[in-house]
Amino acid sequence: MTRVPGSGFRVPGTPGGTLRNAHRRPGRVVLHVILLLAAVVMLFPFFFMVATACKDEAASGKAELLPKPWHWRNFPDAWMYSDQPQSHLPWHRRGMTPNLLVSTGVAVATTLLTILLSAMGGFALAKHRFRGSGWWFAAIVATLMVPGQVTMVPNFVTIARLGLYDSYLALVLPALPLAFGIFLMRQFFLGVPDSLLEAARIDGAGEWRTFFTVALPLCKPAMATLGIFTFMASWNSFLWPLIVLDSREKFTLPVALLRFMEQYVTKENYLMAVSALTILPIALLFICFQRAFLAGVATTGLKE
Amino acid sequence: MMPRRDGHTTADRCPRAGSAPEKKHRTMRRPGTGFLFLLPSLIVMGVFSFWPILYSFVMSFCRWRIVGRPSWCGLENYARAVRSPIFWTALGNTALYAMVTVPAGLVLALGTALLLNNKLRGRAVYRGVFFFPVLVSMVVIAMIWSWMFSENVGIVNPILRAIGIEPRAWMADPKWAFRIIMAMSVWKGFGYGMVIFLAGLAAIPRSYYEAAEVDGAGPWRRFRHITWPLLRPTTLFVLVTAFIGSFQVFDQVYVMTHGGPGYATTVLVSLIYDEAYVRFRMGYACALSYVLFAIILVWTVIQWFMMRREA
Repeated sequence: MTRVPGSGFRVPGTPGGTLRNAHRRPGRVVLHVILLLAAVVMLFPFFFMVATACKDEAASGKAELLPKPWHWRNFPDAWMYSDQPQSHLPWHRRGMTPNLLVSTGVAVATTLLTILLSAMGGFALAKHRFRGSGWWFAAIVATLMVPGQVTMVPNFVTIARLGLYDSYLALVLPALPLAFGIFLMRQFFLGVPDSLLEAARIDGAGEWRTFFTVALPLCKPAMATLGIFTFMASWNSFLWPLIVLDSREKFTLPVALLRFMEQYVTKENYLMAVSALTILPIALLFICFQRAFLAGVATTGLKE
Repeated sequence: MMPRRDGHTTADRCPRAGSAPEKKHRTMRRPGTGFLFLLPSLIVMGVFSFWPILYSFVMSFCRWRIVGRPSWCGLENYARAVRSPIFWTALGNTALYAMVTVPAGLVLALGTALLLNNKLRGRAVYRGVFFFPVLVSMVVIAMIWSWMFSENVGIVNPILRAIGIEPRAWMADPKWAFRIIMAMSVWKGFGYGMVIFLAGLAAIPRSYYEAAEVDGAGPWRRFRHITWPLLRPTTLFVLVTAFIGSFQVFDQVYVMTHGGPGYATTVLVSLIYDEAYVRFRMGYACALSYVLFAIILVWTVIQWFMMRREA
């Protein structure tokens, strides 16, 4: 470990340990203390959420941190809570379940459509020449500069005129991040050697087969990045669903949570329980795929 | 399968195409196919992106309530914004939000990235913990924070009382409500910049630091003369995206205060939301959205040139 990587000689003055941490034993302790404190600050609100969720109703109105005892049953109870009778409803229409299904379905559909359309568009712009391709690319990239609020008002009207107000399509179609996706995929396809595609063509594959069997499998990393980005954005999106949704059953989770908060102001414990449950899927995904998540985020950042 | 984690762009994996001999093969046998690949995206973007961008611009010069036909009114919407004190309040709040949260977030992101760039036990756990709030819906985070700062049932007041500070109604106080919104936004968002800085730091060759250390450069000089200059593109990216995002702040304001008390926390996008979907003054809302666009555009260009010049 005392060798400088890549050079193969020992560094003078560092008899033990690596160069960088040879002289910092006390520094290490300070570093860990700082990081631990920071981690506590980062996690405390989530702890507060779970603790409040486990209080009984009387205690949730009091300013105490810890519940006594911990009512874990609040989680399923809060999830199913409603002031409407719902025993006649099938399971997927009770409590927050419809909203979970909407959020999941919309996020998955948005992600898959974005990946497919962006890959096709990026492939076209990177590997084909056709009339106006340069202009189309410029126009697509230019829309990245425009904040979503500019398109929000006309899109609301378009959605209403198409008869899509309060529909799932209204959540998906205007929310596809195609400009970003096409840009990302084009950059990626520029790095794919033409010879690979030529080989497929020489073997007699048509354009579409070349795309689906050769080009697409090559760009899995870019697709993963775009997929993670799109899924996160869709899952957490708030303003657009707030605008185009009307019926409670179609609310995505963030909107449903807000309505829950407005409707049951005094049920802090239930509100926090439901909030915690909506974080759970994202938390589990993140814990399982932390590296892929962070690598995906870093990749979007390093694109010029 | 998954993107690499060593901080290189995925595009670096393959040698770049487009060198001279390869270039002529880009023209394919059937020239129409390329356009067909792009067509579905163009249709969707045409309806929900190109068209509304133009339409919104035209409507910003029209009086347009959602029912009835829009009627041309020239610059009246913009003039109305300039005359409206609420517009200036919202603009001021948005600017304050951007000028506070972006630098604070940048310092925290870079600071934590530098700390975590050491070989360190639990590094991945810290990184995950700092990044986690980025993933969580702003609505949830905003609800938790309003609860923590709630006057009677929150947890902040009892803690402060224990160390002798008077409790107060935080979210009803015009000054504190906005400060808390800003603090929460920094807390939630800096992990994103941290991950990007970590990737940028990983791309700096270690040998530079080792050479500097052999030459007797201390930590500060190593940071000042190696890390900071080499991170410049990363810093620019983080700054530009953070500013663009910060001008569009809305979710947390809507959930925590609805722009109140009074207009103390009203920002530009909450104003656009109110005008468009509460008062149905669509033309005015379009004009406001173009003001927002102009601000973002000008500020991005300014930043670009400032960073270019320094380099």
